[in-house]
Amino acid sequence: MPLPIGPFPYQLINGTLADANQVMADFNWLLNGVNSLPWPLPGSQIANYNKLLNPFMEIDQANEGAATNPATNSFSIDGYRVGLNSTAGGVGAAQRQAAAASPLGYQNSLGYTTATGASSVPAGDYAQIFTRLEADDINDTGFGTSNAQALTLSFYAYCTIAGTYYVSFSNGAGTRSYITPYTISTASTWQLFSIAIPGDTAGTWTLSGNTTGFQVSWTLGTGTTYQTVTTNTWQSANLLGATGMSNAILTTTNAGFRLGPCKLEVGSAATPMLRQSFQQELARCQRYYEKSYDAGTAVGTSTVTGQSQFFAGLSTGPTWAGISRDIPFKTNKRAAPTITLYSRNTGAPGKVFDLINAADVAGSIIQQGTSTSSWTANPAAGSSTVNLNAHWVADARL
Amino acid sequence: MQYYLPPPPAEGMPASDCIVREDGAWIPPDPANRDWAEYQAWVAEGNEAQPWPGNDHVFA
Repeated sequence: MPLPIGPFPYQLINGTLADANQVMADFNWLLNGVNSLPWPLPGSQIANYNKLLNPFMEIDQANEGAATNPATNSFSIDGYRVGLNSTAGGVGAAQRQAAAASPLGYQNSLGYTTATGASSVPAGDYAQIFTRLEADDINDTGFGTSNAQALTLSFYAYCTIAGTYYVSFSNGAGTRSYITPYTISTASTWQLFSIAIPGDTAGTWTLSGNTTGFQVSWTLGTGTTYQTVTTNTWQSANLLGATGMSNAILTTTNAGFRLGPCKLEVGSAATPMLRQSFQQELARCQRYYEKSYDAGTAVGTSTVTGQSQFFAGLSTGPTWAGISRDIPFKTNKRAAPTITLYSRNTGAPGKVFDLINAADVAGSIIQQGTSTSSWTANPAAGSSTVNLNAHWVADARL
Repeated sequence: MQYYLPPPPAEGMPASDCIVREDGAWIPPDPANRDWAEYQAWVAEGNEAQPWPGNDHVFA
């Protein structure tokens, strides 16, 4: 791809680049040649920032590719939750998909499969893939004001059942929603969609802080409670779909839906998607979820690799009654995180492995902060040498 | 769902202000923490956290 030629495109303030992050993003874009993939290329337009976490569906710290039960709006891959509320016997599963089940040229997607089709879709039932954005991340949208900006959502989708489906955009409180359709014209074929929506000039939007500011839902089906007869307009309700929509994914055993790479940006036109390095995207994800286990290692695995350890040995002297050990997070968390300890020997939750006494002991968490936390434990028996080992998971997801 | 109060701190250690969920997760009292909000909703329904079940308790 030829480099764009023209005047220096960045603003200087007192000799300093006004937006160093944008400069770096543009530089990476030029280096990477915009992936050479079938993403819409807007001529020489610079790519906007992608507000979605883990947009290439590649990071799955919590599950490492294992299927999750979506019955409780469970977390799937980093940044995405899958919810199935079926009171009529529907059962589903969600998991990260590999390259063979992803759009051509991409390595991953997020798949939902109906294991058992529901016999019906009562009013309050639904199935959806959704992602939430922190309020700080929509600070530049101006939503809820007369200066609200348009947004554009681009995404790849695949479904075993052709038809019209819906995307829902909503605020954190679920009091404002925008429902818009897209049509999968051919079953079992990846298609790229780009949907521009107007900014919401009304309603109450939280535009700063660390709570949920925005939600995007890919609706797989829903009952009448969350349906509307009016689409493509902002409404004061919690909505997921349109009246009369097909709920075939929920009611058809073995039906499948997959969500591929996606992008949400300010503006009314799609711009190229920039894939960050794995490490950059992992760091973004770690604001919400971090684990001591190495990437690729499932939570609860019996392994010494990455463990948090406290070891002290004295030839003579006091008997260790208890210890504490810091957990310095690689990335500051969105909020004080929920922490679960795991025995590095048995993988048992809530436990720390006492190597000297070859036993799991209870572990406690103290002093939780967004940058550091601490765990404590008492050895199973007093000794002048103590060697306690634990893995941990810190969860500050929205 | 069940929650437990944390155990007494070891000698010389500060007390934890967390709530312990039945799966062994330690939840801090941060209003922005999703799990803490769920715990608060659970309490608002009239539920009450149980005493610490003992150090040998197996979380699941």
